[in-house]
Amino acid sequence: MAKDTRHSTSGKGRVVKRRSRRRNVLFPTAVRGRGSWILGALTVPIMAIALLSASLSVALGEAARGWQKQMRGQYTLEIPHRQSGEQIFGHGDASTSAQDQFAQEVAGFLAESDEVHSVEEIPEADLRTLVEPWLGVLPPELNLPKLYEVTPRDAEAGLSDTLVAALAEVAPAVRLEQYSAWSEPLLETASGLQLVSSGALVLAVGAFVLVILLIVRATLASDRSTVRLLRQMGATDEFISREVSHFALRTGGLGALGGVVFVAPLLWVLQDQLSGPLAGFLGWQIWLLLVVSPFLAAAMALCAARLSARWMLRAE
Amino acid sequence: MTTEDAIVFDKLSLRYPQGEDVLRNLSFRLAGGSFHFVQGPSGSGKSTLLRLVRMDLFADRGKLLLFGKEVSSCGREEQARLRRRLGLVFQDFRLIPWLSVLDNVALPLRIAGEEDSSACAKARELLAWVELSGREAALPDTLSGGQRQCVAIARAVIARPDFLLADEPTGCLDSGIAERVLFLLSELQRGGMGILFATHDEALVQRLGHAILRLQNGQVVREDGWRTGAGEEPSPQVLQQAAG
Repeated sequence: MAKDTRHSTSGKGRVVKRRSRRRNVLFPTAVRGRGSWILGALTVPIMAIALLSASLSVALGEAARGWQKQMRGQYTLEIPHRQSGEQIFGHGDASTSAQDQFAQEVAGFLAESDEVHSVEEIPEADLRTLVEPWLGVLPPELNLPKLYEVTPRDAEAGLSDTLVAALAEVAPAVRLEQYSAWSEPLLETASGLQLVSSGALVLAVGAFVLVILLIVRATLASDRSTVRLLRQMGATDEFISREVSHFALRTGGLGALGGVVFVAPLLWVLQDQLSGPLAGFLGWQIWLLLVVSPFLAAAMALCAARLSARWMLRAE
Repeated sequence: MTTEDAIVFDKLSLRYPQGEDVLRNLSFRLAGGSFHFVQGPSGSGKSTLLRLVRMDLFADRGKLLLFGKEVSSCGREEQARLRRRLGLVFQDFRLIPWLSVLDNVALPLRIAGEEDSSACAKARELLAWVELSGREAALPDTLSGGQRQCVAIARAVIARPDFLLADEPTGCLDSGIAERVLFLLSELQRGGMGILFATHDEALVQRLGHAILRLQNGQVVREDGWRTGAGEEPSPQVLQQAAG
């Protein structure tokens, strides 16, 4: 109802200032009921889990897309290191200079092809850094194979079988591997994790809706006499369910807001700590999700509450 | 049935599950704008009869027509519409304790979809009529029994119902306040609103001199001064007493 501030006399004769304002007809009992706040509070961790799952799902999806785009059509050319005295193809010894010369010749062979856009050597220092997490710091005397990144002109078509066969003829021990050979298992793992996080999101949203249904059921049960009175006064199921859903709307919105308060700092810290292939994948979509989630949750709570209240009222 | 009949009971019976008949073979008609008492001892079926009219219960046998519609064949929306044509006053007031007096009175208009500002303005007018101006913001629990019943009457009539159902409205009020409540109801009836007033108070019924439907063991045992026309007046003595 409209705001109406009046002075009125209390039972003891004191003049007290009371503010009369529009209130929901049904929800106060649910709010005041002993322990009923627990239901409302339950939405906070549920929404936090939902937001984390959604963020993880979005980040993994973005990461997988990024990797796919970055690595599509890429090849690695690996020229193994030979021990001294071992024959190198076309060269009589395994000295460092002979190996370097051989590597340059193979790289040049590929670079001259019309199918190849570029052939870039991966510096040895980078290689040592790459293997360090698994093998530790390698002794300098340990020779590593020479690696080249080969980018075809047409990423979709890749390199032709003819070129690969020609390379094998020139240098049979050289390995030319498509990135997809090792990136596909990684992408599959990312897809699997994305599926798991999406499943967790669905479960969290389901739990959220169930909490809202519990709130509606508790409200209708605790305010049964009010519901009966409203019906006797000619209230439709639509009117009663609208009254009940006001509380659910607030609970849903506040629950999601609480979830955002928990999750946002966590993601903020995580964003700074992520490095390597995951760096930068907590993108704007996730921050947008955090901003809109209270509104989404409130809308979802409103719909769930209104529909379930109508259904429960009809079933009575 | 004539077009003036607001409430028609046609050979109506009701039995509670695994019990005896509460109402048996009731047949009568109440015209719009009429004032009728339903009188009888406790357990005679007065409240049950009123519950049937407000569609809180439905008959096992026979028909109940409200404003020309048979209630058992109405859908939920139609029943809600019919209920909005009835005003309800209870012995225990049934005000919503967490709503202010103003919000309680304005509630039927909210239910009917009226704008808040207009509902509040009408609620204030009615609170002035029942002499409760200045108590708009009070909660019902801070009012006396008589004041609460006045609020309940204001709430019952704010949406201008065609018929008012009063179930022992003076049952827990002292005699002075009861007279005031009766005066308000009589004023409403003079304004054209039908009133069905259930009471076990024989003296009250005799004093007012309206038509009486006497119930005993769920059956009509006597009808006194039965009239169905509009414009019945309460006895002048009662009006004088209430005004005084």
